[in-house]
Amino acid sequence: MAEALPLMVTANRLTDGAVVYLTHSGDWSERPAASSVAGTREEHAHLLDTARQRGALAAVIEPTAVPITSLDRPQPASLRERIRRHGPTVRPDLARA
Amino acid sequence: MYAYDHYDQHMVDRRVAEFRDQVSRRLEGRLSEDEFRPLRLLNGLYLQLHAYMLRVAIPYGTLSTRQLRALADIADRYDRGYGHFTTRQNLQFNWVKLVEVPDILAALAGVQMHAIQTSGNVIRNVTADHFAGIAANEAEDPRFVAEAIRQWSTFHPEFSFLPRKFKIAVTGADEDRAAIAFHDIGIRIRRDDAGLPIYDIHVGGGMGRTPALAVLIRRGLAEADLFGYLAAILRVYNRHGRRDNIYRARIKILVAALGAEAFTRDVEQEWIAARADDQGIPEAELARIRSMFAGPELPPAAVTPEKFSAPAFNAWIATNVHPHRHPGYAIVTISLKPIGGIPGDANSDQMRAIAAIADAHSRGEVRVSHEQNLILPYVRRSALPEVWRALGETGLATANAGLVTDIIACPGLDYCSLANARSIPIAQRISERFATISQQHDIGPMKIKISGCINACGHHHAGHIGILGVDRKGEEHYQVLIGGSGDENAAIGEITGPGFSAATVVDAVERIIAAYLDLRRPGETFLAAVRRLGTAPFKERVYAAA
Repeated sequence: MAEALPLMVTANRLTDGAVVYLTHSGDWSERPAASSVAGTREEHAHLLDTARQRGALAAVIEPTAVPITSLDRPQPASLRERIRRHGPTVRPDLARA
Repeated sequence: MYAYDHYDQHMVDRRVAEFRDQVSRRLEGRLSEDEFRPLRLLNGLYLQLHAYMLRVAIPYGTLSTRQLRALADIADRYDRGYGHFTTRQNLQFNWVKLVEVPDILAALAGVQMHAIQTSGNVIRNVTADHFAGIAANEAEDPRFVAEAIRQWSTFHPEFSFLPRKFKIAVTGADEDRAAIAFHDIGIRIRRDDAGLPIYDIHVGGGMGRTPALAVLIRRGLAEADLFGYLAAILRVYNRHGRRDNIYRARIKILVAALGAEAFTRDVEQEWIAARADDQGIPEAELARIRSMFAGPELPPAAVTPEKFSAPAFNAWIATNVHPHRHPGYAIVTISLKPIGGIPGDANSDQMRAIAAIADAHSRGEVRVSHEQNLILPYVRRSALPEVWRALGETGLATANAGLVTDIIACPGLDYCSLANARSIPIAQRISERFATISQQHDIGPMKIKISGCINACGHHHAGHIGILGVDRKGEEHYQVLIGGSGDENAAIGEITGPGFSAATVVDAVERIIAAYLDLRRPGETFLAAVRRLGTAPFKERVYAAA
């Protein structure tokens, strides 16, 4: 089933497992940004096409589309993805910026 | 302790080199993730929410101080300065980098450790009573059997592709601290009338989606027959276990489907048929392994501790110090459950401090319990004040072993990719709610166990009070169970009824405990009260305020 819109594509980087987000330029960023958001199915397809063309998918594992809260502040909607984004809630000292 | 021989070391070193090559091929793109995943899992390397996680095997929970220091060094050099001791007596590093894992495995191999078979559909790290070899009422140190099973099962071609993961636990004591009833195979060692070790074989226990207590299928098996019989069980499982449905693939499902009697008949037939050809492990090899668990020579020691009147020390003695088979010595539980802390976590400074204390006072040996605590197995009673002070300097003298704040919790949704809800914050809040030592002592023996999903790594089915985190429409929600137990009178906890939100579940636990305090007879433990009264009065109280 297709994820609800808007969404971002997230994955873990192959070399170190770090959580990353796909940008429209086909790069992976450690922080979600406006450039990561797909507001429509077409934009989502474009995100993945660009990533494929640039060979970006080989640099990560388990790329997954996840719903976000809004187009303006691209934060993951689910608790699971918010924890992935920010780090373990029980270790604020390890929180990601 | 067991020490690797040339073959052990060669196998582990070769495995490191093999995995280094596999990682290299993965990074170069010559292996796809689909091809690489089973290879990394067979080396204990998972992908979790934030990063790769490496699960290091600690066979039957026994560690030398050299090994513990190596784990501390790995935590500092390759991880984020801490590790998480698990309910299978293993250690997990939560932040390792794939590119560095071969070096970590090489560092582990340097101290006779590895991460082999800590994942995958194989025989996993064999667990044992954490008081093995030191408990007062033990028939035999179960670790020699666990070590023999480790050697026998590692890379065993017949048992490398089982229908599902396979967990074995061994105890040699009447008191079951290894939770053998909740294992695929649980082994209890006894002595026959002639004083020879004999083995009771329980099969088909487990937690997870379908909790089950293991069934005793063979009493009093002779030692010479042990490995032939284990092989027969695994062959029957290999032959008939389901591979089409991951949720129906564990041996407990097969035992239930065939019925214990028919399952046992199949095993006995297989055992007898293969007996002539399958000689198991040679007697001399078993004797060699057994000799390594003779334990250190302990010189006579004073039977009573030094006079020391600090109340906090006395509270610690009451809960964290246990009788030893040698007069004048004690077993010390180091609680990894500080009030409000993360169950099972230890930082590298704490690991080194424990290693130093164990070198000075425990013959250089440390144990890991499945309850996520550490054990000092050989402490002179006269040294207890010094040990307590030294532990206290690094925040490790929490006097709560076996009490309400000594909570098992899986990593849950804070780390685990399978979890539906967080476990650790619930454990922390319960711990803070019952922080007062006098209150904990008043409540008495209490095992709270929390899992963040149905896989039950937090053993919630076996908790006197169990908590299971579930996802309800995107919100964390918690089912509560009562009456479970993992000991020699094992029982599966009963769900109280509708679940609770994260905000209210700790109140529910408090109401259950308040009901117990009201209803108990003098000296009656929580579990005894539940067994006497049934769960109804507790359920009534839990939901009365809802």
